[in-house]
Amino acid sequence: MAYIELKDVSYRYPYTKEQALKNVTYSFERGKFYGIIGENGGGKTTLCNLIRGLIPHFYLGRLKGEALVDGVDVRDWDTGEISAKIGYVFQNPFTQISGIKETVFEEVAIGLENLGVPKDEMIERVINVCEMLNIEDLVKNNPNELSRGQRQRVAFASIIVMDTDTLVIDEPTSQLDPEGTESVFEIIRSLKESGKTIILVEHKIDLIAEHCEEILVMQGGKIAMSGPTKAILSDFGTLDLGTMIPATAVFGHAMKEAGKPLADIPITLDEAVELVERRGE
Amino acid sequence: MHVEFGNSFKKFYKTGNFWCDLYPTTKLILCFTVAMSTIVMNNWIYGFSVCLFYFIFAFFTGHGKQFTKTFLILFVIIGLFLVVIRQVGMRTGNVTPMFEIFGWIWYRESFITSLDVSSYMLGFAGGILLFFDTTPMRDLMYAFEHMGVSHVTSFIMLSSMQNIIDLRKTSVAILESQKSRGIETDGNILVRSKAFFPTISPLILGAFSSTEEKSIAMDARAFSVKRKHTFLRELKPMSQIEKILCLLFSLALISLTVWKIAAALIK
Amino acid sequence: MANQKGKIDKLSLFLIPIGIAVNFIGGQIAILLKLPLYLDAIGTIVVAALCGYWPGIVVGLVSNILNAISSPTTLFYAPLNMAFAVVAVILSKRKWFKNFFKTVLSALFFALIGGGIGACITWLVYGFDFGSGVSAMFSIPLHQTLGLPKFVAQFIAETSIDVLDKVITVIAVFGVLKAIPMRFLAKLPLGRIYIKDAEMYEDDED
Repeated sequence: MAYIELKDVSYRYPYTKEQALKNVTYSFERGKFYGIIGENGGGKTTLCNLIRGLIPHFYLGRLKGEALVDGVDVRDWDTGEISAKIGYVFQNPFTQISGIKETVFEEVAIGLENLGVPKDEMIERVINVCEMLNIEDLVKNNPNELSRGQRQRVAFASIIVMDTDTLVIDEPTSQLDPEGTESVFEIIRSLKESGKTIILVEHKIDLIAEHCEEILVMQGGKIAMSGPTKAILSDFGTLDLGTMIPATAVFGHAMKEAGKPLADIPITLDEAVELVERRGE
Repeated sequence: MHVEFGNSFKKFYKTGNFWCDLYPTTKLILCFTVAMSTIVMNNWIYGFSVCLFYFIFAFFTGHGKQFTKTFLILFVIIGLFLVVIRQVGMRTGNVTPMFEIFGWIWYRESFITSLDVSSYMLGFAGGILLFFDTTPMRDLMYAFEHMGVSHVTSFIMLSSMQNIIDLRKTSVAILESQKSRGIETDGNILVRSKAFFPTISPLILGAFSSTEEKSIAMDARAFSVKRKHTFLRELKPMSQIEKILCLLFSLALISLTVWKIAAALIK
Repeated sequence: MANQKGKIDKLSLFLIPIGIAVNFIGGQIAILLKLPLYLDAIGTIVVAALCGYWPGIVVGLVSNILNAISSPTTLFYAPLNMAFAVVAVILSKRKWFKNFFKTVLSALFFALIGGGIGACITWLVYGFDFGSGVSAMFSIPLHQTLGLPKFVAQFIAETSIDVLDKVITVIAVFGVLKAIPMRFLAKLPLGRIYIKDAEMYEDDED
């Protein structure tokens, strides 16, 4: 059964003329890893805001159509309760630090305090998440004095610790170096493996190719394309939608044009290596 | 190490100092009643004795240096200044000259009045100062939340304090960059007033624009869930002795006030 | 827009701590620029003008409470800052802050309120006589050379010191209100007042 169901959803922010979402229809299934890509201003973040219940409660504006989260319309969701169901991490690491706690350990625990989780369980969960995100050494630090990258990890930890069914993640790695990015993706992947639904907005197309199962390409407030990762990212047409495709796919197409096609269009480096090796034999 | 640190939250938070480890509400009531008593008494001998006691007590709590620094400033701007002002400003009722400085006669009546007023101003200020020096805001808010005050109140207080620190840093940075862009920050008062606007506006606008994301981020951490909260860092609840102490101090203040009012009415 | 009465909406709630910090920083910048002014009510007035009575009053009150940590006697002057919030909301609803001249004129209101309530509080707190602030340097000569009653002298002194302070304050407020982006204003209770051509967007259906 679809977990998040969008039926002909259109949305306009208050005091704007242009719709930010136009007739969007899509079903997100439980336990899958979705990637949202597309040009800036294409509606990626608006889609996240909708799923997260911030539209229409926080952003107001005009919402049409039906948007169901776990069978309940987003208009009827209590803004507080939905946070126990859908976690949300976004780009800016500075605004995601609460500014009311003196140590990273306490910072990470805020969500659990608000949910009324018993203290012993709280401590255990925070310890586990700190290990998972490699921030054990920071637990005693003041969260307001961390570097960008450290803040982003702490912000991420603060949401993961709440153990929501679904995670909406809007460019979590924008402040991280390649190594940090890779490790965050490993974490997201392991969350997916533990049965969570992941909806990820990300520009780093190679990582999308490697980890996501389904892809949505947003353009001009519409879902311009959607489908399994392989199908979308190996399609040259995706480029016309203002987004990139992996360099390996471009390589695959170039080989085809040169009259030396590979057996398939590769979207990850491993795939490319394998296909090239197979051809060589 | 992180496990150890995490588990340290299982025990009540303690500093090791007898006074500092009292429950925040206890400290608040004790400090406040003593502070108020100086106003009710309106007597310089009492007021200044209490101030002296604050000093000694502040050192006993390990916050003596901090307390002295702020209190001395208050002592000068409230105490000394007021004594001089009363000598200049109070003209009626002065009959007993005390001494003369370069032809300026100081009168006993206005001197005593100024001592009374500054003793209760300082007596009040000192009590509040002592309380805040020995009680972090988060502890006070913890106690309030246990009394049923919304966690929103705690957020406002604690977040404001962090914002002050953050905005201060930003304001210095903006001021520096304005200087390097050629905006005059020295010169006459008009020039300096003009420099105020390009400094404060970007500061406010920047801070405002961050609130939208901040509210989303806090919401994602269940900030607006209406459930009973739990607390990671806990303080030792008020003991029986503390309760009795609070009651005694409050009763003392009330009876003092009643007595003072009654005395004033009879007179 | 869609707000229940008597409840602070979410965005206003998060603006409160910023308003409080701005009150502090205004004063600090004044010190950095060596201006002999307080400039400590900008946050109160901006938040009140955008969010309404309660948020503005809370900003005023909490600013004084936090100030009391290092200088406890400011606690007595909390009603002053709260009154600024009330006046700011009234003027904001009447669209005064949309017009530069009305904005500058509003400084007079703030100064009169500041002077009036300020003098009353000083009067009460300092045992029905002059206070120990800067204002004493003006009120005492007024009392002694012009023979004005002490309270009147105190009132005049506090008001006149306040006028310049509040002129600078409201000009800063004016600039800020003018520069806040529309999408942000849209989410604030009184934000609509500051949106250009707000009516234009009202009726059209998609």
